[in-house]
Amino acid sequence: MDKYLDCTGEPCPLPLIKTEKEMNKLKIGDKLFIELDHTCSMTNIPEWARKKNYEVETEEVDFGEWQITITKTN
Amino acid sequence: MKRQEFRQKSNWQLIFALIIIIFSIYIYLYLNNSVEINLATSWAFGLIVGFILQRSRICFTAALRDPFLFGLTKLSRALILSTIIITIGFAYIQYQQQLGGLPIEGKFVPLGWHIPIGAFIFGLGAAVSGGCASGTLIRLGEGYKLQWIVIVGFIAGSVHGSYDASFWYQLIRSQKSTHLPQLLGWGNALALQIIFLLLLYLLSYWWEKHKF
Repeated sequence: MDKYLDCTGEPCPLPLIKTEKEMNKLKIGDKLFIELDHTCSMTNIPEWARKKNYEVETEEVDFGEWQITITKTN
Repeated sequence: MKRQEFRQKSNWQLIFALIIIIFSIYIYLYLNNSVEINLATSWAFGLIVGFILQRSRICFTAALRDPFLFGLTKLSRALILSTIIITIGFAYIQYQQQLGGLPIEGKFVPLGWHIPIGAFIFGLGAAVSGGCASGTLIRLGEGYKLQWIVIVGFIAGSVHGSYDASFWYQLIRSQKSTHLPQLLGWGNALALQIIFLLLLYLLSYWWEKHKF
Protein backbone atom coordinates (compact mmCIF):
# COMPACT_ATOMS: atom_id res chain seq x y z
CA MET A 1 0.00 0.00 0.00
CA ASP A 2 1.28 3.48 -0.86
CA LYS A 3 1.94 5.84 1.97
CA TYR A 4 1.92 9.61 2.31
CA LEU A 5 4.31 11.35 4.69
CA ASP A 6 3.91 15.01 5.62
CA CYS A 7 7.22 16.42 6.82
CA THR A 8 6.57 20.13 6.24
CA GLY A 9 8.08 22.26 8.97
CA GLU A 10 10.39 19.53 10.18
CA PRO A 11 14.11 20.15 10.19
CA CYS A 12 16.89 17.79 9.21
CA PRO A 13 17.33 14.90 10.11
CA LEU A 14 13.70 14.13 11.07
CA PRO A 15 12.35 13.63 7.51
CA LEU A 16 15.00 11.05 6.68
CA ILE A 17 14.53 9.19 9.98
CA LYS A 18 10.78 8.98 9.26
CA THR A 19 11.41 7.98 5.66
CA GLU A 20 13.73 5.19 6.75
CA LYS A 21 11.11 3.85 9.19
CA GLU A 22 8.29 4.01 6.63
CA MET A 23 10.35 2.39 3.89
CA ASN A 24 11.04 -0.56 6.15
CA LYS A 25 7.28 -1.10 6.58
CA LEU A 26 6.48 -0.90 2.85
CA LYS A 27 6.33 -3.90 0.54
CA ILE A 28 8.20 -4.17 -2.75
CA GLY A 29 6.50 -2.08 -5.44
CA ASP A 30 4.89 0.32 -2.95
CA LYS A 31 5.41 4.06 -3.16
CA LEU A 32 6.16 6.59 -0.46
CA PHE A 33 5.23 10.23 -1.05
CA ILE A 34 7.11 12.68 1.14
CA GLU A 35 6.18 16.34 1.33
CA LEU A 36 8.89 18.54 2.84
CA ASP A 37 10.27 22.07 2.98
CA HIS A 38 13.75 21.58 4.37
CA THR A 39 16.48 21.96 1.77
CA CYS A 40 18.94 19.68 3.58
CA SER A 41 16.49 16.80 3.57
CA MET A 42 15.91 17.51 -0.10
CA THR A 43 19.50 16.41 -0.76
CA ASN A 44 19.61 13.88 2.06
CA ILE A 45 16.60 11.75 1.22
CA PRO A 46 17.17 11.25 -2.54
CA GLU A 47 20.83 10.45 -1.88
CA TRP A 48 19.93 7.89 0.76
CA ALA A 49 17.20 6.34 -1.38
CA ARG A 50 19.41 6.11 -4.47
CA LYS A 51 22.11 4.43 -2.38
CA LYS A 52 19.44 1.90 -1.40
CA ASN A 53 18.72 1.39 -5.14
CA TYR A 54 15.15 2.66 -4.80
CA GLU A 55 13.48 4.65 -7.56
CA VAL A 56 13.38 8.35 -6.73
CA GLU A 57 11.45 11.23 -8.25
CA THR A 58 11.52 14.80 -6.99
CA GLU A 59 9.33 17.75 -7.84
CA GLU A 60 9.18 21.30 -6.55
CA VAL A 61 5.49 21.81 -5.89
CA ASP A 62 5.73 25.33 -4.52
CA PHE A 63 8.40 27.79 -3.38
CA GLY A 64 10.70 25.81 -1.12
CA GLU A 65 8.31 22.88 -0.97
CA TRP A 66 9.07 19.59 -2.57
CA GLN A 67 7.50 16.22 -3.04
CA ILE A 68 9.70 13.16 -3.21
CA THR A 69 8.34 9.89 -4.50
CA ILE A 70 10.26 6.78 -3.57
CA THR A 71 9.36 3.40 -5.03
CA LYS A 72 10.57 0.42 -3.10
CA THR A 73 12.19 -1.78 -5.71
CA ASN A 74 14.02 -4.26 -3.58
CA MET B 1 -0.13 25.67 -7.92
CA LYS B 2 -0.10 26.13 -11.69
CA ARG B 3 3.20 26.23 -13.55
CA GLN B 4 2.43 29.69 -14.97
CA GLU B 5 1.85 31.20 -11.56
CA PHE B 6 5.01 29.56 -10.30
CA ARG B 7 7.08 31.07 -13.12
CA GLN B 8 5.70 34.55 -12.50
CA LYS B 9 6.66 34.32 -8.86
CA SER B 10 10.16 33.26 -9.93
CA ASN B 11 10.50 36.41 -12.07
CA TRP B 12 9.60 38.57 -9.14
CA GLN B 13 12.26 36.81 -7.09
CA LEU B 14 14.89 37.50 -9.75
CA ILE B 15 14.14 41.24 -9.73
CA PHE B 16 14.35 41.26 -5.95
CA ALA B 17 17.72 39.49 -6.11
CA LEU B 18 19.05 42.07 -8.59
CA ILE B 19 17.99 44.93 -6.30
CA ILE B 20 19.78 43.27 -3.38
CA ILE B 21 22.95 42.74 -5.47
CA ILE B 22 23.01 46.41 -6.51
CA PHE B 23 22.40 47.44 -2.90
CA SER B 24 25.27 45.18 -1.72
CA ILE B 25 27.65 46.70 -4.28
CA TYR B 26 26.57 50.16 -3.11
CA ILE B 27 27.37 49.23 0.52
CA TYR B 28 30.75 47.88 -0.60
CA LEU B 29 31.60 51.09 -2.43
CA TYR B 30 30.40 53.20 0.50
CA LEU B 31 32.54 51.23 2.98
CA ASN B 32 35.49 51.29 0.61
CA ASN B 33 35.38 55.02 -0.08
CA SER B 34 34.15 56.58 3.12
CA VAL B 35 34.66 54.19 6.05
CA GLU B 36 37.47 51.66 5.89
CA ILE B 37 38.87 49.32 3.22
CA ASN B 38 39.10 46.43 5.71
CA LEU B 39 35.38 46.63 6.42
CA ALA B 40 34.61 46.63 2.69
CA THR B 41 36.79 43.53 2.20
CA SER B 42 35.09 41.82 5.14
CA TRP B 43 31.70 42.64 3.65
CA ALA B 44 32.69 41.17 0.28
CA PHE B 45 34.20 38.04 1.82
CA GLY B 46 31.19 37.55 4.07
CA LEU B 47 28.87 37.66 1.07
CA ILE B 48 31.04 35.27 -0.94
CA VAL B 49 31.39 32.77 1.91
CA GLY B 50 27.65 32.95 2.62
CA PHE B 51 26.82 32.39 -1.04
CA ILE B 52 29.14 29.38 -1.30
CA LEU B 53 27.83 27.88 1.94
CA GLN B 54 24.24 28.26 0.80
CA ARG B 55 24.72 26.96 -2.74
CA SER B 56 27.03 24.08 -1.81
CA ARG B 57 24.50 22.85 0.77
CA ILE B 58 27.34 22.01 3.10
CA CYS B 59 26.04 21.40 6.59
CA PHE B 60 28.58 20.89 9.35
CA THR B 61 25.99 19.32 11.62
CA ALA B 62 24.98 16.80 8.97
CA ALA B 63 28.62 16.07 8.14
CA LEU B 64 29.17 14.86 11.69
CA ARG B 65 25.73 13.34 12.27
CA ASP B 66 24.78 11.50 9.08
CA PRO B 67 27.61 8.94 9.20
CA PHE B 68 26.27 7.67 12.53
CA LEU B 69 22.55 8.00 11.83
CA PHE B 70 22.34 6.83 8.23
CA GLY B 71 25.82 5.88 7.07
CA LEU B 72 25.93 8.75 4.59
CA THR B 73 29.39 10.28 4.43
CA LYS B 74 29.26 12.50 1.35
CA LEU B 75 29.17 15.68 3.44
CA SER B 76 31.83 14.41 5.85
CA ARG B 77 34.12 13.68 2.93
CA ALA B 78 33.46 17.15 1.50
CA LEU B 79 34.35 18.61 4.89
CA ILE B 80 37.56 16.55 5.10
CA LEU B 81 38.55 17.62 1.57
CA SER B 82 37.98 21.28 2.39
CA THR B 83 40.03 20.84 5.57
CA ILE B 84 42.90 19.52 3.42
CA ILE B 85 42.65 22.60 1.20
CA ILE B 86 42.49 24.88 4.25
CA THR B 87 45.53 23.13 5.73
CA ILE B 88 47.62 23.81 2.64
CA GLY B 89 46.37 27.39 2.28
CA PHE B 90 46.91 28.29 5.91
CA ALA B 91 50.32 26.63 5.98
CA TYR B 92 51.33 28.86 3.08
CA ILE B 93 49.99 32.01 4.76
CA GLN B 94 51.57 31.17 8.12
CA TYR B 95 54.86 30.21 6.50
CA GLN B 96 55.00 33.54 4.68
CA GLN B 97 54.19 35.34 7.91
CA GLN B 98 56.95 33.50 9.76
CA LEU B 99 59.45 34.31 7.00
CA GLY B 100 58.45 37.95 7.16
CA GLY B 101 58.84 37.99 10.94
CA LEU B 102 55.15 38.74 11.44
CA PRO B 103 53.02 37.21 14.20
CA ILE B 104 51.42 34.00 12.91
CA GLU B 105 47.73 34.35 12.12
CA GLY B 106 45.28 31.83 13.49
CA LYS B 107 43.42 30.73 16.58
CA PHE B 108 45.74 28.97 19.00
CA VAL B 109 44.12 27.30 21.99
CA PRO B 110 45.76 24.75 24.28
CA LEU B 111 44.25 21.28 24.59
CA GLY B 112 42.08 20.68 27.61
CA TRP B 113 38.74 19.65 29.02
CA HIS B 114 37.15 22.87 27.82
CA ILE B 115 37.09 21.44 24.27
CA PRO B 116 34.96 18.29 24.88
CA ILE B 117 32.68 20.21 27.29
CA GLY B 118 32.14 23.03 24.81
CA ALA B 119 31.72 20.60 21.91
CA PHE B 120 29.09 18.67 23.89
CA ILE B 121 27.06 21.80 24.65
CA PHE B 122 27.36 22.98 21.05
CA GLY B 123 26.42 19.55 19.72
CA LEU B 124 23.31 19.38 21.90
CA GLY B 125 22.18 22.76 20.59
CA ALA B 126 22.98 21.91 16.97
CA ALA B 127 21.08 18.61 17.13
CA VAL B 128 17.96 20.21 18.63
CA SER B 129 17.90 23.32 16.45
CA GLY B 130 18.76 21.52 13.23
CA GLY B 131 21.84 23.53 12.38
CA CYS B 132 25.15 24.86 13.58
CA ALA B 133 26.07 28.54 13.55
CA SER B 134 26.44 29.00 9.80
CA GLY B 135 23.59 26.62 9.04
CA THR B 136 21.26 28.57 11.32
CA LEU B 137 22.10 31.84 9.57
CA ILE B 138 21.66 30.33 6.11
CA ARG B 139 18.27 28.86 6.99
CA LEU B 140 17.23 32.12 8.60
CA GLY B 141 17.90 33.77 5.25
CA GLU B 142 16.05 31.00 3.41
CA GLY B 143 12.98 31.76 5.48
CA TYR B 144 12.58 29.00 8.05
CA LYS B 145 10.50 30.24 10.95
CA LEU B 146 12.06 27.72 13.34
CA GLN B 147 15.40 29.48 12.97
CA TRP B 148 13.97 32.73 14.34
CA ILE B 149 13.60 30.98 17.68
CA VAL B 150 17.05 29.45 17.25
CA ILE B 151 18.69 32.81 16.55
CA VAL B 152 17.28 34.21 19.84
CA GLY B 153 18.83 31.29 21.72
CA PHE B 154 21.99 31.66 19.65
CA ILE B 155 22.42 35.33 20.63
CA ALA B 156 21.48 34.70 24.26
CA GLY B 157 23.95 31.80 24.43
CA SER B 158 26.74 33.82 22.84
CA VAL B 159 26.19 36.69 25.28
CA HIS B 160 26.20 34.32 28.23
CA GLY B 161 29.26 32.60 26.79
CA SER B 162 31.27 35.80 26.64
CA TYR B 163 30.05 36.66 30.16
CA ASP B 164 31.46 33.32 31.37
CA ALA B 165 34.53 33.43 29.13
CA SER B 166 36.92 34.58 31.86
CA PHE B 167 36.11 31.44 33.88
CA TRP B 168 36.93 29.14 30.94
CA TYR B 169 40.07 30.99 29.94
CA GLN B 170 41.25 30.87 33.52
CA LEU B 171 41.22 27.05 33.27
CA ILE B 172 43.64 27.03 30.33
CA ARG B 173 45.71 30.13 30.96
CA SER B 174 48.66 28.27 32.47
CA GLN B 175 49.05 25.92 29.48
CA LYS B 176 50.98 26.59 26.33
CA SER B 177 49.20 26.18 23.03
CA THR B 178 50.68 23.80 20.48
CA HIS B 179 51.58 24.77 16.95
CA LEU B 180 52.60 21.62 15.06
CA PRO B 181 54.96 23.29 12.54
CA GLN B 182 57.00 24.78 15.39
CA LEU B 183 57.15 21.37 17.05
CA LEU B 184 57.89 19.17 14.01
CA GLY B 185 58.95 21.54 11.27
CA TRP B 186 56.75 22.70 8.40
CA GLY B 187 57.16 19.71 6.08
CA ASN B 188 56.53 17.07 8.74
CA ALA B 189 53.60 18.88 10.30
CA LEU B 190 51.93 19.40 6.94
CA ALA B 191 52.52 15.79 5.89
CA LEU B 192 51.22 14.45 9.22
CA GLN B 193 48.05 16.49 9.06
CA ILE B 194 47.30 15.67 5.42
CA ILE B 195 47.99 11.96 5.86
CA PHE B 196 45.71 11.90 8.89
CA LEU B 197 42.95 13.65 6.93
CA LEU B 198 43.37 11.29 3.97
CA LEU B 199 43.05 8.32 6.33
CA LEU B 200 39.85 9.83 7.72
CA TYR B 201 38.60 10.28 4.16
CA LEU B 202 39.29 6.64 3.33
CA LEU B 203 37.68 5.55 6.60
CA SER B 204 34.47 7.45 5.84
CA TYR B 205 34.44 6.14 2.27
CA TRP B 206 34.78 2.61 3.59
CA TRP B 207 32.09 3.26 6.23
CA GLU B 208 29.57 4.26 3.53
CA LYS B 209 30.44 1.18 1.47
CA HIS B 210 29.98 -0.95 4.58
CA LYS B 211 26.59 0.58 5.39
CA PHE B 212 25.02 0.25 1.93
